Amino acid sequence: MVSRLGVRAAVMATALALAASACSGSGDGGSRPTGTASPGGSATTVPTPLLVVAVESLCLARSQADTDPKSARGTFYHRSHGPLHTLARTLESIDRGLAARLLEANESVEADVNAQPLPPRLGADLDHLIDVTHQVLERLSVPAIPCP
Amino acid sequence: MRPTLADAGRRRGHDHNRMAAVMLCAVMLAGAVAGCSSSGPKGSTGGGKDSLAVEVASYDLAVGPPARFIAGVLTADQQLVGFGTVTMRFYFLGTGKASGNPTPVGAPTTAMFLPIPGTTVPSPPPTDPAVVAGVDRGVYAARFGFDRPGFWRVEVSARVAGKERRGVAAFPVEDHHHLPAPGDAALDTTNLTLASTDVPRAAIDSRAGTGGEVPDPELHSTTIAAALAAKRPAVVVFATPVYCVSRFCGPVTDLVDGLAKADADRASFVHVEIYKNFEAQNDADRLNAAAADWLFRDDDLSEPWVFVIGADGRIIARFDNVVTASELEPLIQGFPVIGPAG
Repeated sequence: MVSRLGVRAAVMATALALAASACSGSGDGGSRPTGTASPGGSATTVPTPLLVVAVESLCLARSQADTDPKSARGTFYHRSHGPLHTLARTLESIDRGLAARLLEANESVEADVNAQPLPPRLGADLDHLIDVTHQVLERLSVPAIPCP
Repeated sequence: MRPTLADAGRRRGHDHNRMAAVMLCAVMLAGAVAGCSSSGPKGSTGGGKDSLAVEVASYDLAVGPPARFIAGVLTADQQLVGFGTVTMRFYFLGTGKASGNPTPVGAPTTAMFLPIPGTTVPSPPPTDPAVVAGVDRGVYAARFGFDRPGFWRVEVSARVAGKERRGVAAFPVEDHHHLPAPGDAALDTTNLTLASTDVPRAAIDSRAGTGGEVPDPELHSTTIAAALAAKRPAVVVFATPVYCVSRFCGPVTDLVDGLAKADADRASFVHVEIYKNFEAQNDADRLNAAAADWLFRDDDLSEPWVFVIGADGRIIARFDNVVTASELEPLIQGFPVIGPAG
């Protein structure tokens, strides 16, 4: 979806994600950022809880990469991969360059975790993806979610 | 005449599509919010945390004979549901807007799970749908023929984790397909190949932009036009593995690549990368012309797609978003052995 459909997809995905997060209740929200980020006054919004989970899971996957790469693969796919695509779709309308960097970094990790055996660069590629994701959060004025 | 990028700004139906998008979002939101309601009867669509989220994965839906309809199914907390079967029932909502009284059309139908390439299917495969790990992705597929254009709803019901669950999604159905469809003549497009030395490698395959090399050269050795001229069957995947919005582009491209390695003596296999330059601000600079020829309509482009073209140049089948080996292999095996492309 190059232009309008990209926005449409992002809006739909966000609508679903927002509704889903509303359905799932507050859970262990605690002091985590909540609500949505609306970049540059754009009509599209990013569900912040989804980002929190995505980034925290990237951090977890990074911590697993050296000792338990199979778990790192599962963590990445289960919690981070999809939301990062959603994030990139939303970002496309305001910063295609940064969206490209995010998708490229996401794809590098995806290629790593699909390889047999898992390549040793997985940790470095996850580090890079985490860095790019933090740049995206900054671009969207979402509070930083540092790895522990 | 084939639409071109230059026509993009004056396309008919643009406003209709925009309205459709807005309507669709509104309907989806309404459906999703209804799914969050705790006031509905137990087991109804309004089942709160026990409801399902349904994401329609089909593109270019139109009135016509029964065809594949696919949807992703998730739990309310966005956990993927996979394996087994679910039941789909279709409702007509209206033409200009979603009516208050959805009209059921046809009988409930069983939808099978289509695992995307790379998903590990247990043996024997689970008989009931279950919450699956993020690596085991797929959609549910049913065959259904839409008899009128407008807004439709699919209701998905399944027993997941011991509970009966339901979810709905709304979507538009057009009066005709906008993209090439089975029976149509394939467009004689000259796509980029490895011989295209005047473009960045990433324009030939987006994965070359991150890895430096085109990972599947056998998919970039010929053109659709050359296959048609040689009267060779062709399997063409339109996808951007790096910049994909649907998450399925890489696995689908890899699937076609595997078939290309196995069945190059039966057909030509082509991967058309979507983007010439993903970061370009306007569509003409952003899209590869071959991808635009086939997929860019009304300022929209959906991907991934796989088209199977017969030796007579007619489209035999097309697969939107997700395709499996079990869907493609019988079609390819139906082609006679003719040797590799010259």
